[in-house]
Amino acid sequence: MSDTNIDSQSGSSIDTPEHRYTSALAQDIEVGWQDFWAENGTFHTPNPVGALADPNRTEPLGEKVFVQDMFPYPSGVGLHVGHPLGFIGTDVYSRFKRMTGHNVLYTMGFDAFGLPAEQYAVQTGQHPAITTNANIANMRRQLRRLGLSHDMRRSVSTTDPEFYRWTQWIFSQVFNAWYDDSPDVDGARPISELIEMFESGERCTPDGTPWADLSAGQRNVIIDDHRLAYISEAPVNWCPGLGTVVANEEVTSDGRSDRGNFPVFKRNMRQWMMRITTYADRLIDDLELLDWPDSVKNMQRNWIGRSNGAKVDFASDAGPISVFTTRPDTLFGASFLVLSPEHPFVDQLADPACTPGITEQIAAYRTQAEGKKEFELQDDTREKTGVFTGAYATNPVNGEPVPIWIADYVLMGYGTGAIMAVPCGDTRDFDFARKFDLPIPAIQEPPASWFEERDLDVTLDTRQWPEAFVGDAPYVNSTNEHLQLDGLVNKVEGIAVMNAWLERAGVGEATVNYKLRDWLFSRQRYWGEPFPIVYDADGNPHSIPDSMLPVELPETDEFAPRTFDPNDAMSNPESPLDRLDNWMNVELDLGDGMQTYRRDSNVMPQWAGSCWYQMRYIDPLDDERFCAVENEEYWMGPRTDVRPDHPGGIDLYVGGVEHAVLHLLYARFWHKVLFDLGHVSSVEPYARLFNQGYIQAYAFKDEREIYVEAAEVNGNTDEGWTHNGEPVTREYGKMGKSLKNAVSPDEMYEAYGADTLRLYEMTGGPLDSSRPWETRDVVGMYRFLQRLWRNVIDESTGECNVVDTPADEDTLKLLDRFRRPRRDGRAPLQHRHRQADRAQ
Amino acid sequence: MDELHFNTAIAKLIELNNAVTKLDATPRDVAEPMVTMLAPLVPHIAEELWRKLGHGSGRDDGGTITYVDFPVADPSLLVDDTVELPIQINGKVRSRVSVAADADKATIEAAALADPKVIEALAGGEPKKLIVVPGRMVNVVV
Repeated sequence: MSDTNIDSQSGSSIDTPEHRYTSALAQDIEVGWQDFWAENGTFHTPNPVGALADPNRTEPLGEKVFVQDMFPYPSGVGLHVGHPLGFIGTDVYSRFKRMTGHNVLYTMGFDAFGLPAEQYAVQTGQHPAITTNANIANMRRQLRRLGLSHDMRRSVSTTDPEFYRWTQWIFSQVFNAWYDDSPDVDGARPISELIEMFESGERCTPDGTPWADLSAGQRNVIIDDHRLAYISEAPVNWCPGLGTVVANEEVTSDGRSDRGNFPVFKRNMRQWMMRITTYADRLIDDLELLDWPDSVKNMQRNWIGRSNGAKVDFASDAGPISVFTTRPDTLFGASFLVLSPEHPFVDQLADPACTPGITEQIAAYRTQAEGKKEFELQDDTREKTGVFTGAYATNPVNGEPVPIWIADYVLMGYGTGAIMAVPCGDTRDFDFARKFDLPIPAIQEPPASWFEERDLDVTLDTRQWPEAFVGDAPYVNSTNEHLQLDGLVNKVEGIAVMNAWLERAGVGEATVNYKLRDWLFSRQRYWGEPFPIVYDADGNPHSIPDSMLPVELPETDEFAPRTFDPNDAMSNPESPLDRLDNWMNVELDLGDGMQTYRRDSNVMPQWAGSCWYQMRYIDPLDDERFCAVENEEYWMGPRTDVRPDHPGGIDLYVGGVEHAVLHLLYARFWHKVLFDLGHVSSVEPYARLFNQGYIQAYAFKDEREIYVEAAEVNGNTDEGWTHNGEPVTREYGKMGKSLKNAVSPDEMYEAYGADTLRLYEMTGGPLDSSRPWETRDVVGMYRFLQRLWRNVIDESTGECNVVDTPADEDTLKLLDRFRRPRRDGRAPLQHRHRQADRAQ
Repeated sequence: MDELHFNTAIAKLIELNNAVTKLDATPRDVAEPMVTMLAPLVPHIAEELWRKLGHGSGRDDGGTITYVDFPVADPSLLVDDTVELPIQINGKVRSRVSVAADADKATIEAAALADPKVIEALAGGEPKKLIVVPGRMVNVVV
């Protein structure tokens, strides 16, 4: 093969030796070897059992390594050179592992459901499947040309019915499961076991009525209340501009959809939810088992937002007002309460006989609050507003009367809809107290340095404080006859002492609270996985038996949900599937004879397929199971030989940090459900996570702030930059088509070849750091490969010209200075250096 | 490689290749390990050169460099790569000790404690403090 390639390489200029490593020769070599690898199945990786098993190969190939990239969405735009940075990194790693005695599972799939293909379909009428498959074919071509060593037999797309059949199957598993939080189980179990427990009386029904005395409908309500996938009438993020609801994670910090940038409104709607909250503790605690960047672990911890605090009851005329606080130790400083305007006690507390006009004031305040969106309400920099109800509650710790206010920054959906305000120690409460002239009792003595920085003498007269003091400091004024915080200096102790007193006194209890909410799981769109659910005449959901999966997407030529004026908050979703009556109504025998059912018109969110795709890489051809037990155990089972508490999962997972809380949290949740139900042996899907950096580039804007082609810009940092003679300004950041600074890999293959591009991308720094793209620097790597070639090949004859005389000692030392050490258990050089560094 | 710091490997391979360029001819015992070490990074040219070097046509390796063993260092050459660290006794440099450049803390400690000057200073006792800064120095407080 190689000889033919080189013979075909004769047309170069007279000066160039016939067998020089030119871009044309590089291309011939590269395409030739890519064909060779494909024809010979060079990267085919054997499984222990099933269709991809090869008992003669698993053993000799050695220890397993499962390497995976976060799979891409097959965009129609194609790749630029910034995209494959991580892919090249995993390929180099996989190839290195193959050469050091490992059996490497490495492939690439496509996360292909989603909006762009659907929007293209809406505009052109072309079915999203056609667009998607064409885009996948183009991306596969671009990636193949890069020389990635994927086992292509394992490449899947989430849009393949053979793939989403199993996404639907997993959904059914989640739907037919409940969370048993008893200490000896603490995990998901099949719904059938819950029913048995109710029938036998081992478990009481919520109100104590014997199971046998309940009607079928009442039983259904109880069962559905336990399911890990359930339908809920709940506040959701309705996005009229997209015509669909979106998850909390898909709403930006300014309250808009991350796709399309439309306003998002909180509305009560009937939607599918996943009970991810039942896994909150395990999702936090098991982070300890993972070899992940601390930054990503922290983002997950913050997103789940577990905090220890207390529920405290303040007596009032309307009954005890419960507040949740993360700082019960500051209770002595609570000088007023703030209730959400919708709090059920408000009307009873606001007595127009005592406070004339209060009813009207509150009504007016509620009206203006309703017009605001949640992100506005949570914006701490906003001017504080509120209304005093005229009523007082009693602070349980010192018996002081505290005024009760309403304000829109307290949300009914979070906690109890009421807060205790401790203005001396909380910035928002401090601002509120200042504005409405409420007392600010000091309960901590800030350190002298705090006063110095603010140019103040040390004082506990908070009227002189410019702001709240937030932090640990000795408590003051925090003692009653049963309780003493004065003298303590840190909040952990303070909280423990206060919580013990609250429980003793019967006015509160220690609690754990979470920011995490259940996962909104339905979308009113077309291009997603249909739900494997039908509804009977009474509207009860039933999962479709496995034998009837997949529920394939029906054909249609109307792909759009109805969209509305982006600001029409009161519009209602109408999904594309709703319109297809022939598909929506179906006759099935689910065990009660043939009956008519109605299908679910929602589709799953684009995160569904990526929750479990690694298991399909393992066993892409298995049509009995989503993944054979033996194969999952081999590729993902816990590596107790590495660490006794190793959770199992993929050995190296590479992708962008932007997936820290969406994909990575959802995938962990599904994996844990599958683990609890006994379908997988690994506790976690991704043992080691690595965030690759980004390739960044300069972009140029003209005076109208419009991007110009970066490749056509002239100039330098001293003299400035011009485009067609006009001055332009330079900025540094992402690479992309819209920024007119994208460089396609195809250009680089043509100019230098894939090997040069790979080397250039890998040389810019450790894989986790970002690096600039400079097209003019690529040639440096090309010249290196030319020298390498010349050191081995005679450029005029194309023959190998190495000599068999031994190398001198100096060259050998240079060689051995960085070669991999022996396979006898000594750590690699680099690793030992790192340990030495840490030991300092 | 396990830390995915491929840039340092590339820098060293460029250095090696430059050294080879200065030689009159390329010895096979340098060319072959160099090509195999480059194979994960630049697999196509590596396959081609490997074939040119006379490998890869047999059935046992599948005709490819993919599963060829990554080179293993010769430890006798590694040991030569040593550094000399100053040994301070009570803050003053009293001796020097030679250790492998990548020696870890424990190894350096052991080497320092075996130094005649240190043994003399300790006079059979234990050091009050033994501070090792790998690659830099050893400080013994007696």
